[in-house]
Amino acid sequence: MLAKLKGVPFFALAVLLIVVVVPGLFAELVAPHDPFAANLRNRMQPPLFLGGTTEFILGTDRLGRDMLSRIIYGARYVIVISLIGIILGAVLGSALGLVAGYYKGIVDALIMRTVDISFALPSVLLALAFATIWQPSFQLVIGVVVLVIWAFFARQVRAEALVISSKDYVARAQLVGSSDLRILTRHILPGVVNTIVVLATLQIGVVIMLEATLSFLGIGIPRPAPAWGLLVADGRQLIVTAWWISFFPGLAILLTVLSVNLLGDWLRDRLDPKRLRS
Amino acid sequence: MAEVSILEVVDLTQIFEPSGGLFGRGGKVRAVNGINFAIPAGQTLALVGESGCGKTTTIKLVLRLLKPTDGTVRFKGRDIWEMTRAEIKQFRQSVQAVFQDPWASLNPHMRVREIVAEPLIVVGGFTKAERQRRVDEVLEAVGLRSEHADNYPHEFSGGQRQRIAIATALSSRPELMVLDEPVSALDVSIRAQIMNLFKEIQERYGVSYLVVAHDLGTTRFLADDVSVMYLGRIVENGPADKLFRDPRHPYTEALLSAALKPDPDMPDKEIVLSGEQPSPINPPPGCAFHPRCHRLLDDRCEAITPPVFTLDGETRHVACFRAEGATSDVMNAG
Amino acid sequence: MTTSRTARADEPLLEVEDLSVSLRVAGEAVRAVDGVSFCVNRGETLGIVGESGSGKSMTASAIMGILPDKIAEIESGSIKLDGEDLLVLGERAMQKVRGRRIGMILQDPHTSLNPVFSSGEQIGEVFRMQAQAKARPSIKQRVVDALRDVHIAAPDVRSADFPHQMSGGMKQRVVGAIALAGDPDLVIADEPTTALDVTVQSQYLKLLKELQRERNIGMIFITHDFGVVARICDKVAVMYAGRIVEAGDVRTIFRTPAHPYTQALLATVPSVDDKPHRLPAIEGQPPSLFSIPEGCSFAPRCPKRMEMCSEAPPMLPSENEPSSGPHGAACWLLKDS
Repeated sequence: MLAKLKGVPFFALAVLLIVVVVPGLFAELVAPHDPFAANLRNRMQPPLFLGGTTEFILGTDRLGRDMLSRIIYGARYVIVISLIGIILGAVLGSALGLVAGYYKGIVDALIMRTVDISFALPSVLLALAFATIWQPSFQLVIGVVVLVIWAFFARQVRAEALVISSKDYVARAQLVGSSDLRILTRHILPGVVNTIVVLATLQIGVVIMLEATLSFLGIGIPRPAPAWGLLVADGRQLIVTAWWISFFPGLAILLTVLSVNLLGDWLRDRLDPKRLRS
Repeated sequence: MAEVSILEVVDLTQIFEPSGGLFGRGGKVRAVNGINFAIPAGQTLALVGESGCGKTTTIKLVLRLLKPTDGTVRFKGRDIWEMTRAEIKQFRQSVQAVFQDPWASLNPHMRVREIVAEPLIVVGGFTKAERQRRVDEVLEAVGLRSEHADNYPHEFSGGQRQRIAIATALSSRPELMVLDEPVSALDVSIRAQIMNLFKEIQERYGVSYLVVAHDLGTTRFLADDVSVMYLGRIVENGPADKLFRDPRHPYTEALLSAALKPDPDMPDKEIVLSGEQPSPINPPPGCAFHPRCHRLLDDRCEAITPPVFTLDGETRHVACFRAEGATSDVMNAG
Repeated sequence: MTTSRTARADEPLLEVEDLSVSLRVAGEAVRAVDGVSFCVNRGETLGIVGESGSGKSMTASAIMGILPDKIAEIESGSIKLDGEDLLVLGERAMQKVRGRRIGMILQDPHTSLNPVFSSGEQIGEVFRMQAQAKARPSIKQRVVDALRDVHIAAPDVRSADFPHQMSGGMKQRVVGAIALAGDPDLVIADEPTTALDVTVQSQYLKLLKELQRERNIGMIFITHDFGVVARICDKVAVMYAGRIVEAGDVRTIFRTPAHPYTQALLATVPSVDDKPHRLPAIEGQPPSLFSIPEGCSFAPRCPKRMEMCSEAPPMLPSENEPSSGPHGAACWLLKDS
């Protein structure tokens, strides 16, 4: 039992739980203040350890809003955007990857060239372009996330689908007249599920960074939502006088991305089919 | 003798044109070059040849995975490329295959029960109980127990996995099974078990076999008829007894002597061919075997593709000029 | 028996004694090679016959010093080449032994050649390691000679060919030329013909036999195929589940096999001469290394099993060690008589 737990990145799990999961799910219970309640009398209070009060442990921003509460509510956006963005991106990318790897030929060529184009597009510029056409919104962020990450799934899943579809058991399924849908879902998909899970975990970091970048540039989640990237952006001009306004949301981003990547690496080592076999 | 063969292959030809890549000098590859054979119901034909002789392509053509460039494959008298949807569905049930590598031929993510029942699931029309009964029956037929049905493939050894693969092929009650090197990936002590199993299954279900192999030794036990392929052509065919006792084509002779006997005093009689099978992209002129032949006859071997000579009253055919004297009529000059 | 041993003038080239190798798999230690002893003389070919998991390839890797470090460990025994124990040598010394004194031919010619070097460069590499820098010009000539020795036509042209331009049989000849380039005393061939076509296999075996005779090399030929053994070996050791169950001169093994496993294996070789109703088959499966039966490991599949077979493992007769003696089998049937 203990041997099975060896190598589990407990540190990463704990950080994720404390920084993202619990605050995100129970923001109303955990947050000491209303994240939107401005009070100019309390503006730019320093955090507790710099002479602040226990009322605002991490200080306040220039409208006097509690930083801790804003960060806690901000975790919601991390969770929701990662979940929806990655699920949509993974489903779209994996489906296209499966189809490309199984049908090969012209279908494969079309999908893979689209993947190449997608990799060649600078995602932030893309988002800037979108933001000029449409208003920045939650949906737009999800859209950009999906556009950026689907190609990773498509490329990797296609590579493995190619290998699996050359296996004799797939040939045999074709021989007994199995439909393509059955072959894709019963024979090929189970062989790539591990890959998809690992890839999804590793992409969470990418998505969080992307969302933060977009919000920082003002083309992500619209204000006054307390998305972490926005919080960092808000403190930008005050970095000399009230550095904590940018620092703590930035720290939250750093810890989350680092933990998620550690978790992803560990999952990859555990689930990598090549390692399973030996 | 008007009985319809279960499988009949007529002048089957498959030409591949490699796309040639960047420097496309796309030469045509005649992977299969006008071959003929027929399998009477309940009998076994062995198709023997080395790598590159076209046997893998032949399997694909027979299984309707590849459309031939020329010629026809008939299953119970019906051209498999003229079948209706319903007929194709029936064909997929009636013709099954067992592949060489039991590690690659079973889906590692499915339980044995689902693997074995797959042909029935696909065709539909079976209740769960009926499928269960069939799975139990075929597992028993291949020497496994019904408890095994709940396990995953990785829990079995190579020999047992091959038994599962055979059970899967059997579950849709096929009339023809294509066995592609069915024992060459197995341990030697397991091979005889599996060969015996094929024999038992044939006796029990009356299924016909097309056995494809690279050596003659393993086919002797199963085969009623043998066709020897070299570079896309059948160079000799005939009843196994006669062909093994008295091979007429020099290549058959060499293959036969290469089926090494476990006897340390025998080897000196062995025929050792020089060179290797040439590439089908650029086959030698005349008889394709002539550069390696240890029994070259005359200039014709190097210039003319030998016609097919019929021996023993229609039962044997040999594509070699040496057979000329022994024959009455020339069938065709391919 | 003793006369034959004293009659032998020279010491054996390779002497393996009581070799045991264990593997750590999924946290469990399993014994892959269990107390194996044999010897090979110059000019002699020993065939090691066995199925997958019998320990035959692991034995070869142990001799070459190429066991996978992390999972394999030599528990006991000695491997002496010309009296020198290879197991006490360091990695550097072992590298020299591998290049010059032991040559190796592996099963798959497609992976044992480097695709980015021509065949000539790969053979020349071995000469270059031996000859230091000064002998450069002659290396080209020696490469051509080496290729001619393995019967490659037009060797001067062929030496510029890359592996992908050559057929499987040709590649395996080049692998042979590389193995022989260091002028080794011992060649270990691990299933060298399994990946070749049958008609090419005969050529290759004939070539190996010739070269081995000409150069008076000792050879260990690892295979699962008794047909190949009959063709090329002088002595045979049959392995099952990590142990040698029978060893002896090739004719004796084929004419009068003593161990039921050897007997059964020989009987299952399909014959092209006749067509029996059923092939004589060995029941069951070879044991997994994780669950090697107590006593004789073949007992559960043995048609002649007795009560004591599952109690204690029978040993190869000790006067047979280091097994250059005529014949011995590890079976309780033989202890009684």
